[in-house]
Amino acid sequence: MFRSNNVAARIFERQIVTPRPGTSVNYVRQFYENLVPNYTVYDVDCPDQSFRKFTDDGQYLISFSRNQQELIVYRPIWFSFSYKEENCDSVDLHQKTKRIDSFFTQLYSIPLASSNEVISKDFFLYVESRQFGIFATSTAQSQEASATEGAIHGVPSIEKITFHLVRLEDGDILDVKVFCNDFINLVHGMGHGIGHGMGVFLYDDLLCIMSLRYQTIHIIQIRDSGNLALVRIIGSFCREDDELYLNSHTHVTERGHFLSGIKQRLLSFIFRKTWNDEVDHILRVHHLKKFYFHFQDYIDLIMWKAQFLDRHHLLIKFGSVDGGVSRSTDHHPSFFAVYNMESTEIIAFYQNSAEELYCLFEHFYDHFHVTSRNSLHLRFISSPCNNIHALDQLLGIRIKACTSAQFVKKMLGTLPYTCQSQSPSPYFDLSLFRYDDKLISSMERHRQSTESPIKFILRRQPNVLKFKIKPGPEAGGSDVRSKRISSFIFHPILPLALSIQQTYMQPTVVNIHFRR
Amino acid sequence: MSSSSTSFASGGGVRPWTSATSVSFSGKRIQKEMLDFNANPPADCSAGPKGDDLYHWVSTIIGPPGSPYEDGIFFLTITFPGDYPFKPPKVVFMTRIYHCNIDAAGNVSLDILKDGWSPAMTISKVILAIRAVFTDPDPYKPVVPNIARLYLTDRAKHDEIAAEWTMRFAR
Amino acid sequence: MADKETPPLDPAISPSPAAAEMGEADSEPSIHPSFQCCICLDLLYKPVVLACGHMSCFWCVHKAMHGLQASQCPICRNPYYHFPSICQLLHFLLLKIEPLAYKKREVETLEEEKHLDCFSPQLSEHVSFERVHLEDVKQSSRSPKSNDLPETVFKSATGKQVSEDDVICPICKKLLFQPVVLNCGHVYCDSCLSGLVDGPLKCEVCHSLHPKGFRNVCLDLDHFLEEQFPIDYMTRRDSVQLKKAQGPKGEASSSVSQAEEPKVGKSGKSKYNEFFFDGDSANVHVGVGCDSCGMYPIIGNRYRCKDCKEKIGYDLCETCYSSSSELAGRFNQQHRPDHTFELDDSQMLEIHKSRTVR
Repeated sequence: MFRSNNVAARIFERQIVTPRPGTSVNYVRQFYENLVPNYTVYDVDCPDQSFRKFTDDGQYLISFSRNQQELIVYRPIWFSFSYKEENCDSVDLHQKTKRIDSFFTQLYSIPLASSNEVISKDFFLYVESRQFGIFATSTAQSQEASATEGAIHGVPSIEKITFHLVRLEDGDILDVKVFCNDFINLVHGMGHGIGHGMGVFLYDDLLCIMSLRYQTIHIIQIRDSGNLALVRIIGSFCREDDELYLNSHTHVTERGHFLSGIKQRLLSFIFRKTWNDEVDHILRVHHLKKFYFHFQDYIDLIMWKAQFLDRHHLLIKFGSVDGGVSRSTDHHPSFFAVYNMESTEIIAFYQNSAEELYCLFEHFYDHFHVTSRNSLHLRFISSPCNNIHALDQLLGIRIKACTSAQFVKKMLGTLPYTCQSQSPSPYFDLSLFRYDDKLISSMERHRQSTESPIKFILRRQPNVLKFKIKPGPEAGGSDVRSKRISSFIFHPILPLALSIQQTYMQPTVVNIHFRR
Repeated sequence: MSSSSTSFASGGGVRPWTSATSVSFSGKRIQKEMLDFNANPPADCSAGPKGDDLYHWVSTIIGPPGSPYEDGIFFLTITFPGDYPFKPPKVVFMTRIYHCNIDAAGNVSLDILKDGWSPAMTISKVILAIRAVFTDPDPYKPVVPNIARLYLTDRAKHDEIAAEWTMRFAR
Repeated sequence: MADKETPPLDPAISPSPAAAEMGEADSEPSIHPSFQCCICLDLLYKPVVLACGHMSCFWCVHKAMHGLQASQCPICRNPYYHFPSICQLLHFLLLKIEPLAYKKREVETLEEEKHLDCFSPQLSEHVSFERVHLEDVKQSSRSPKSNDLPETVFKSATGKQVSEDDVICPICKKLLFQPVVLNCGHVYCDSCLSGLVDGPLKCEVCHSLHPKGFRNVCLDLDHFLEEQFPIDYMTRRDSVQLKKAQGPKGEASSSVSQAEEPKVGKSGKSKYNEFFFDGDSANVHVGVGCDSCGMYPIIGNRYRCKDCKEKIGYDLCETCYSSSSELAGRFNQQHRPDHTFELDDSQMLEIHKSRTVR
């Protein structure tokens, strides 16, 4: 059905056409085709800060001070600015829009990190139901990690990592959780550095923290009262009281090199599977022989990352110690295990080239990206299983890939998913707009700047250019050769976005894109 | 005749030429055992070399039905000495187990792995013997006296704890 | 799901079951179960039969022996002190039954012996089976040099059918029935040995003394004979039983051999030690064996040959020294009667009975 792009016509249409049940939200979102951030104010006058992101409900803009010690929270006030004026077209916007406080009100600024600590710039999780924010501060990372008992070799150490639970409404620090001489990945991105991305995952009120050095998954519940309560620890033991139980039954200290709880579960799963699946004696013996051949390799695997699949199930990625540090994942196969925390069982185990897991991933993409039982925003993020265009894109990549195995590995490389790393902004909705996903996407990522503007083209007829995001000032002027990194922060609801330009040895430039 | 390298320090284990003959001899024998074991493995047991090292094996014993160890998957490492089969292999549990003949470090204390060893024993027989003590512990030669005492005085309680251990640590 | 194949973590290394199975394929598929060595699990090579009747390869027995105290049979744990000589009858029998496999074992063993520079006794067949028994054994075992193998002899033996002549008792000259292998390696019917005069058991062929203790039927050989010559075996059984029933002498002696078995069955280490250590203490020459009777370790005086050049040396125990044994060494040493001996206590350890009987 052809639809007019005229707002008045669309409003009229809305009155007379009733959308299909369940489609109302997406239907309403079609209005964003007409509400676009088509006006840019370059290099706004703002304090030197690192703007991080909008919360998914659009209530707050999170920012950190340049020295990474203070948390600064803003509230977007774009509406009021735009519509307070009687006639926005006639007003000379220039003077007011040059200032950041025309768009945002600073709510507060609070110190989070002490003098020898910094706030992890990449790390921020939002507990939407309670409007809590989770932040992390850490001391410097030391490569030559002191040999601490129980720590694995080859993983660096951080003296102190602190997670802060902050009530964003007023900046009150409700609770903290400290990890000492540990390593928890707080850096964004995939394929870079140790652990391939964030070691913390939030599902509803449950926080999963992967301690790499001690090979332990901490499951922490964020109580409504604002407490961080440790629910269980998975690693050496599987059940909460296993260690206590063991200590109450052995009177001598263990000297043995027993398998850790999770490894016992993993190996017994692989064993049972091999044992039960093969009825033929000779084949079974053959498969078991392979299992024993690789036994030490399985023992040497370490947990890299984990995510929730639901409240009871974790998807855990296993890999070699070396595999995490090296960039090429080809020579270091990794494995995925689905672990049920309640029954303490591994219920599935895949290699990172497993077609079977990929098929599940493609068909149930959203289930791998779910961060809540009833997340509204997740539905707005385009994925191959809710959006035909995203699926097209995926198939396009598949065709381009050299081998199927390579493609599968590449796709599964995004698992476990990095929590809250995608923007629910409607402008990234692939059924509304088409854009070059090499330059911009819903994924939070720093990208190298281009001089050419990023075009957002209407997906539907007549496929016109609706707006452009141009990271550089229109006048050009600056040195084209210097490398610039840009990042984009889109508001989840409003036609409002920040683009941030970082040039080496030069002050950060912040541009604001909004609808005029 | 006298063996060239005898020393009193090695105590009861004075055996001539072991160091010189071992590699090919023990290797061949272990190889033969492996073929034999795979062709005819004991029930609910399985074993094989770890990596390409013939002298380090992993074995899996499925907890025998009817015993408190039922449904457990127990992993063991078997290390063959260079002078195998003239010296016994060393068997260590990698899975925690509540058993009066297995110490807190997982070492198996069986007569046949010590003084009772004979070169005619095979790994198949050793694993069978270990599986046998799952159902019939020997509380009169315990390495964990507390467990043995409980086994003798309150069998039901002992079995309950052993089953709990299996559920917690051997699944 | 978890790949049944458990994919290799490193594609470069993959399990090599193929290599292992190849080994299986080319190894002789059907070793006669009676003739598999319980130690190396391979075909017996230069078989040695212990007093309890169980057998193993020459090297396997030697390596399994304890250099400090009584050794135990790997199968029945029967304690023993003497390293028996190779049973030539079995040796040539195996050469006939499994010519190829036996030859292969020979090559393997020789390879290892060369590596060690220590050789097992060379046995040659050109002295025919009967002659081995009738003639002086010393000659046959001494003559060949360590390295020149009688290969031509093996060829002539290839594929021969086992005949009854290969397995007859030197006393009754009939098919062996319930064969007993003495310490010197010669084989007799149990009943024939029982018929001998009382006193220390002495080999009729080589006149060497069988050590105190007991002797037992070599059941594996017995089964093989029963299988191979069913009719003759039956005849032999009937005649022996008949004899037993008739002759009071035979009955008496057979009861002796039977009475000995239970005694051994319950005798543990301690009893055995008592049997050996007559006094309160004994001098044990750790890791040193007598090249004549095979006592290992030598208890009592040790006489060392001053002239034998082999690394392993040539030693005799008190008894063999005084009976002026002229045997070649157990390891093919080129010992000659004109060599001189000296008392040696370099490896001696004084063991007190109270300590050892534990």
